[in-house]
Parts: sequence; C-alpha cells; structure tokens
Amino acid sequence: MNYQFDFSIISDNLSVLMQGAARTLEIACLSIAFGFLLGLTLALLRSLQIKTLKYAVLCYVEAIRNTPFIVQLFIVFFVLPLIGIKVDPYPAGVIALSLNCGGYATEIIRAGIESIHESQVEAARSLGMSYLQAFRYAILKPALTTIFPSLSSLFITIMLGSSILSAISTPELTSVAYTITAYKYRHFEVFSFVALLYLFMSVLLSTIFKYVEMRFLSLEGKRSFLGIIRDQLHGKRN
Amino acid sequence: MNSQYYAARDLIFGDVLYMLQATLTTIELSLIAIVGGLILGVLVGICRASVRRPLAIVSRLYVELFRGVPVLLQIFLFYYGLKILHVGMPALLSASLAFIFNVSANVGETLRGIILSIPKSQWESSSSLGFSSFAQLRYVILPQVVRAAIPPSIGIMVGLIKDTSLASIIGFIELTRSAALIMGVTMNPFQVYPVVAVIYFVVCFSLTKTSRWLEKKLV
Repeated sequence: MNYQFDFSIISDNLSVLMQGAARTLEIACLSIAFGFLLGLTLALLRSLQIKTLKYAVLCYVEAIRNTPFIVQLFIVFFVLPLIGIKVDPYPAGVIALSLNCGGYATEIIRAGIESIHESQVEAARSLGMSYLQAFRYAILKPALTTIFPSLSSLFITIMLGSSILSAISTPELTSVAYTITAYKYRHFEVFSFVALLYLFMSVLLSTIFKYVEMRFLSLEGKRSFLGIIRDQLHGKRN
Repeated sequence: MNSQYYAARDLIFGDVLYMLQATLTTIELSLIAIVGGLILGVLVGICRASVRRPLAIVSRLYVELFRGVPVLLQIFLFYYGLKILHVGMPALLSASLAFIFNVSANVGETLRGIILSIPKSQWESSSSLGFSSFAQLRYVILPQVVRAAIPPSIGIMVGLIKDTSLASIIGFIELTRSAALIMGVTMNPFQVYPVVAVIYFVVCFSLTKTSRWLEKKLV
C-alpha cells in the first residue's frame, strides 16, 4: 500500500465544514420541529375515533415507515414540481425530512396518548388539583415520560438521516464534504472527519436529551447536571 | 413554475421487470448483511451484557460508533477505504461490510436489552437445581432470548432493506439505482418513483406484518 494520507485538506476547509455542520443542525432542528407538530396533529386526529380519519392516518404512517427515506425524498423533489409545486433542494429536504419524522412521531405519540387513563385525571381532580394542574401533572408529565426516550432517539435518527439530503445536493455537511473532495480526491480523509463530526453531534444531542429527561421528567426528582453526565458515562439508565 | 417538464416516454412493462430484477439484488444484499450482522451482533450483544468491564466498554464504544454515524457515511468510508486498498468490486463489498457492521450494532443493542431483562433469579434457581452453566444457557436462558429476539430482528431487517437504498449512491445497482437508470431513459419521475415506493412497501410491509403476527404468537 503506497497511499499517503493527507489531512491538510481538512484544516484548509475547516470553516466550510463547520458551516456545513451548522446547516445540518439547522435542517435537523427545523425538520424535528415540523415533524413533531405533524406527528402530534396526526396522533390527535387518530384518537378522535372517526373511522375514515383513523385509516387515513394509518395509511400515511405505514407508507412512511415501510419505504426508504431516499425514495420519499426523490418523490418530494422530482414529483412535486410536476404537479406545479417547484421546490429548491433546501426546502425539499426539510419537507421530506419533516414528513418522514412526522410518520414515525405519530406512532410514538399515539402510544403516549394511549398510556393515559381517564381515571388518572379523575384522581388528580379529586386530590384538589385545578384542571390546569391535572393536565400538567396527570396527563402531560406521565405521557412525556413514557414517550421521551423513543422521541429522542427518533430525533437523533432524523439528524443522522439528514446526510441523505446530499443526494439532491441540499447544502448540508455531507454534500459540503463531497464538494470539497472534488478538489483533491481525498475522500477517505474528509469523510472520516465528517463521520467524527456526526458522531460528536449525535452524542451532543443524546446528552442534551438525557439531561432534559432526567432534569424535568425523572420520577426521582431533580438531578444535577454533572451527576447526569457521570451516569451517562457509566452507562446507567435512570 | 418556469421550467417545462417533458417525459421522454411512458414506463413500459420491461422497465418494471428490470426493477423487479433489481429488487432481487436488494434482497440479496439484505440477506448477506442480516446473516453477517446477526452472527457478529450476537457477539456484540454478549459483550454488551457482560459484567467484565473492558468487554462492556469496548462493545459500548462499538455500538455508539456505528449508531452515531450516518449509514451513508459508513458506506462512503468503506467504499473509499477499499479503493485505497485497491480491492476489486468496491461497491458490493463496501455496502455489505457497512451494513453488516451497522446491523451488528443494532442487533447487539437489542440482544443486550433482552439478556438483561431475564431476571437474575432464573440463573440462581437453575444453578441451585444443579444445572451446569452450559445447561443453564441451553435450557433456561437461550429459549427465552431467541423467542424474544425474533420480532425485533425482523424489525431490524425491515430497516436494513430500506437502508440498502443508500448503496445506490455509490453506484451499486439495486432497486433505487435501477430506478435512477430508468429515470435517465424515460425522464418520467411521476411514474418511476411511485412504482419503486410500492415495491419497497410490499416487501417491507409483509415483513412488518409477519413480525407483528409472530410477536402475538410468541409472547
């Protein structure tokens, strides 16, 4: 093997790569926000017990969950213009990612809604809580506690999945990396660095989610930030 | 809308046949990856559930690495890594390797959950009944683990089949790539991509249904 590794391409283009990483986080945040809202809406629609609505939501969820994201992306990017909606790579990527996130979020949120029993609200009310308190302590907090771990891993998957947007050259980390490699053909070096950046971002997100979960949703009461980090390093769950 | 779209021609039966052939390639790649991934994943799962610290730490890093990096990047790294090493057939080989490692991390994490969910008292009571450690594993633990692992493994398989579509980006001709090739001839995304979506849906949904049915039956 007479291949000389040359990592200078990374230091030369560091600012461009960092901008790409920022765009990836931006796209991920937008898609997660839209996707969560979509999932919440669909899950609520589904819980209305109207048969047509229920089946429509079910069809949507199954369609999203059983087809690859890249095909969904191509449908948004190539097929929507044919019916008169012209979309640039950036909005097309965000739309596809949000639709995808929404499909998965619907299932998770539905499970959360179903985990709440009416008797919980009645019990809270009979303990003298106001309607608002009952909603907060007897519905929202237990439901969020149930679904938060699945939601946070979905959100991390969505962040990682945004790399696929490079297939339609949305400006994000992976396509920025691809553009850089065109100068010197140092694909391996650039992609190793980019992989590390993604790893860092996913660890970052999972630490933030873990912190939120333990700080606000833990049943054992509030924990200090350092304690949570320490537990995570030791691989403890709750 | 300022640009006009012209389809060169309609989708014909031959195109669909070509895509169905490519579906077989998709399934082949998935089978290679699931077999390799299950074998490697069992090792990862055992290490992950192990009480030995070095094993547990190394396997945890392994899992975090393969689940914290996008699958697409893993494929790229294997693809360009193999190119540096001058290995032939880089597309098939790198896609297989990337998916095997990725699946093994997912399987390992699932297995860990299942192994840890078996109460400690079962080990204790079976050893107090005079079972050797091999017999404990063979007659008490393993049957439960296998039963609990089948439905999530099918779930992982569905995820894998969807992920194999990413191999199209490095030029491996499977279902998604074949669609892109047909797109190049017909210029007709309106017909091509929905057909692809339907094919994926049929394959994945039947697996999903099987896994739900098994879940009811086995539990």
